[in-house]
Amino acid sequence: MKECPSLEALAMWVDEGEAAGVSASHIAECSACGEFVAELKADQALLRSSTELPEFAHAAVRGRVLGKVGRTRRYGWVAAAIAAAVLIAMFVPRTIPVAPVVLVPQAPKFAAVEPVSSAPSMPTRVEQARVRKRPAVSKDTSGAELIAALDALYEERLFAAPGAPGQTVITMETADPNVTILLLGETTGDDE
Amino acid sequence: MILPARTGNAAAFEQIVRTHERQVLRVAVRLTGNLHDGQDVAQEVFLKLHREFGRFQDSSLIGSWLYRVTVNACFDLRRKAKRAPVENAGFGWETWRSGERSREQELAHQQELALAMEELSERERAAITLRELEGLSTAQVAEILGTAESTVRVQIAAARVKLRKCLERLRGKKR
Repeated sequence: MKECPSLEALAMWVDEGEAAGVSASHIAECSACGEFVAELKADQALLRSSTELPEFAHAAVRGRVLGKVGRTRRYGWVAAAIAAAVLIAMFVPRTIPVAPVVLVPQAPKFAAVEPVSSAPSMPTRVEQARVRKRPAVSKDTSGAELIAALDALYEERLFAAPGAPGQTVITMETADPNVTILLLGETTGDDE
Repeated sequence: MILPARTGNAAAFEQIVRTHERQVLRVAVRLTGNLHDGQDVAQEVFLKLHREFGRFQDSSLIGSWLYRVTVNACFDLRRKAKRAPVENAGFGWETWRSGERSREQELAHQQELALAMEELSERERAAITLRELEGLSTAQVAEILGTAESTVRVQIAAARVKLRKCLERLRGKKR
């Protein structure tokens, strides 16, 4: 009798037959090899006949998977909603009304100024300021005309109290109730 | 066939889970050695499927993809855990005994087989599981494991011999 093949060769014979290099006649004639192959085939049958897992095992996995997938989908909508809100906040013009600014004139506190004998007489300048004609301002006023009007108004206010230091605030209302233009001027009182 | 679940149809995804859940859990339990770990792997595999659903043009590709992902997830789990689940091997089937004598005997054999499978290397276990439990061809097993067919043949033959010796030892103890 031929020498017996290795156990691995016999194991291959189970799958591949004589292609594994083991002759069928040897398996038939050699009781040891024949018995081993029979046991391998029994093991193979056992492997193939594995008991099916119970339904609850599958249902548990299915429930966990579908539950997680559902939660992911819900969180996805929340994230999308937040992103949309941020975009809207960034790109939509701000039209939130702003409370109008109330100007409270504040007279600065200065020490009493001693009269200066060499100072020029102010009424001359006041007269000069008052004779300046202030242009009328309307919605059709051009930019240059508006600046000229502002300049006149500024000087008028500034020289209303000649020689006295102080602040001048000119408040301009615009067509937009949320927009107010403020012009601030200040004199120290020691000019000329 | 274009997959309807690609359009976000939750019912279609559930249908795919139901179609493949037995395949995935069966392999996962066999490779991890116990029901609990197998369920964790199956869950991970299906969540990955959900994330990568757009990759699949038709449903026929999902089966082999699931085998590959399941096998790799089982390898990862066992490497991370670095534990020998021999004590727990038994698939949790003991909780499901019907009381029939034939069923009891069958479950006893399955317990022995589960213990014997622990003696195999992870590659041998995967190869013989896919070949015998799932009935795949050697070529399909080689593709899933990313190895040559000749390697798979050697792995399966080695696994058969190891299983035989281990089962002999286990049954010898009982006698």
